[in-house]
Amino acid sequence: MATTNNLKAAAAEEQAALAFPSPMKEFWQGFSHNRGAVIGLVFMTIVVFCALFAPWVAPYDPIEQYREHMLTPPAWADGGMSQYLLGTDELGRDILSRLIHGARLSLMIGLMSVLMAMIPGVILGLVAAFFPRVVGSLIMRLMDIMMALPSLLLAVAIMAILGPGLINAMIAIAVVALPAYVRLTRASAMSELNRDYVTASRVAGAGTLRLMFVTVLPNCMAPLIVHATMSFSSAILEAAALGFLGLGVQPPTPEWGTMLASARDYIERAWWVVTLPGLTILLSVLAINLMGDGLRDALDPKLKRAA
Amino acid sequence: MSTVLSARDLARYYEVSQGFMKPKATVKALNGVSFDLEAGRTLAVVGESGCGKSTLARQLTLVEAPSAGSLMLDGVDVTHGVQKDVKALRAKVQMVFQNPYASLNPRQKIGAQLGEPLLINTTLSAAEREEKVKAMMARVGLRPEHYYRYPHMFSGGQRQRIAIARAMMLNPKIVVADEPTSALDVSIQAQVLNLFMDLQDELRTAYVFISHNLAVVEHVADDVMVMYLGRAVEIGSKASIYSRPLHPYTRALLSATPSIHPEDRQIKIKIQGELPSPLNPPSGCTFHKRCPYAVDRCKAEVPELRPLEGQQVACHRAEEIAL
Repeated sequence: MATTNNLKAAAAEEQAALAFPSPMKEFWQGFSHNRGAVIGLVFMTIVVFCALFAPWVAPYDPIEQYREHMLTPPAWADGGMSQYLLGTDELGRDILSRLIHGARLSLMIGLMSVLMAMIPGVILGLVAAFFPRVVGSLIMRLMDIMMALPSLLLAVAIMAILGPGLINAMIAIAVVALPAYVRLTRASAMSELNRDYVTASRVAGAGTLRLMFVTVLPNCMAPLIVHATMSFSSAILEAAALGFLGLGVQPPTPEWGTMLASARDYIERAWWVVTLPGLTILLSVLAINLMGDGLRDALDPKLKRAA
Repeated sequence: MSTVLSARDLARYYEVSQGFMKPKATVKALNGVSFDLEAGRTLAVVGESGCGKSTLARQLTLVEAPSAGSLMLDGVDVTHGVQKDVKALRAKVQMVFQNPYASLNPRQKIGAQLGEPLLINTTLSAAEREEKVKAMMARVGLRPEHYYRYPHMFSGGQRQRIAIARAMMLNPKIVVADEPTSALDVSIQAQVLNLFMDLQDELRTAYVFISHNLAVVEHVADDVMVMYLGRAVEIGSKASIYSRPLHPYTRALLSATPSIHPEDRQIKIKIQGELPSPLNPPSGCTFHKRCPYAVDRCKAEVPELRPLEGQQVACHRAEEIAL
């Protein structure tokens, strides 16, 4: 009896050794190991939740003007009122409600312009790395020209062609951000291309597409993820700049960048009108960067703890 | 015996930029190499660094197209063949690399990497692939749980066994091994070499075994090809080359092998100077500047590989200087 039990135990042990966490679980293990990344994730979850359920979460309508309470300080400051937790702006609109509603547009601008820059940028960068002679140098010279132009000027020029509007603003920001992704991808793909494992894959018969996206791209992800999280913030700020020029988000639609830009006249009289949107952007960007770090580490098998 | 690989005057030239506004120079990395390889046999390619061994490997594995000459793989002419035929031949030639730390994709699990050749070249289902991969892993001495691990979790010897398993997945006719043991500990080298030889006995794979370690070559090779500056200077069976080298370069190479037994130590034949630049190779016999037996004829005339005493040698004075 004892021997059968021993055998069973041995068999169970063997099963346990063979069983391996699913890719999702494995990813979560790596991610949750990084405390900063989890804090970032929690913060972003709250922000995304606020954005999705803004009409129910926000205490007031974001464009409703309470003229009798213009420039009310936040509740904890002198002269603050408890019904306006974060105070009101120059037109008497509740800042908390505007921030909550603004999260919708700001997050979308950040996310969409990062995606619209990253996907074509990565593809162009890989093509440039795989065909360096003609196509590659053509792409790279084009990117050099785009990099040579001041970014805001280029964005304004694109907006002038496409016409004002939110979607066009996102496209303009994405085009401006594109060259950095192309350069980053090309540089890391070129160095990976000479490695033996790429040759091994080639000898095994892998086609160009497979080599690009399955063999090489995963090994180029680390700098791309870091750059993507960083450019998320610059996208929000550039959208604000375009809005300021009357080309992006139009008032009174709440958006973090526009709130920041339109409140600069009051920076000496009412600090909260500038500080709070700025702080929101800062914290979101920090949270996204932390998440990006965690993502990069979780996707790198070397940094995972040995199973 | 069937010939699986036959190279005729295989050559590969690289264009090298010499600077702005200067004409491009040509490096003859591989300059007319011919040999045959039969199924189940091992051809060792030896020579010092820069003699074109790795370039030869790149031509044989179809990673690069040769500049001149022809290459027949399993009876199909690769160099002048249709693109589709060449693609079908991919599966028949595989490669094992020198550095096991660079030859495995760090972001892919072992199971996925071993399954990749099957995924690309066969129509097996995922479950069938996994089964085959696990069988091959057992064959090279890896445990089943290694299937889900990443390359960095393995030692150098284990990685090289994984690399061998990947090369063997498609049951290739030819495996080109480019110094497969030189990056490994001595204690692991024998293990890996024995694995190579066991697999050869089992699957009748032909090996092109590139090495500069003559002790390793003596252990695994059936035939030996000695290369110097992009050319084969001597080809012959292992026994004849080791016991009776005909080319002065082969002799110098063999006498340079260290030995722990004092009685085995021969008088070292020293060769003077460095390997000449392949950008500007010497006229005539490329070895004449370092050869102790060189005469005027060697400077003028390129020696062709010719049969002599069952071997092939490229030396004008092979008969005269033979021991």
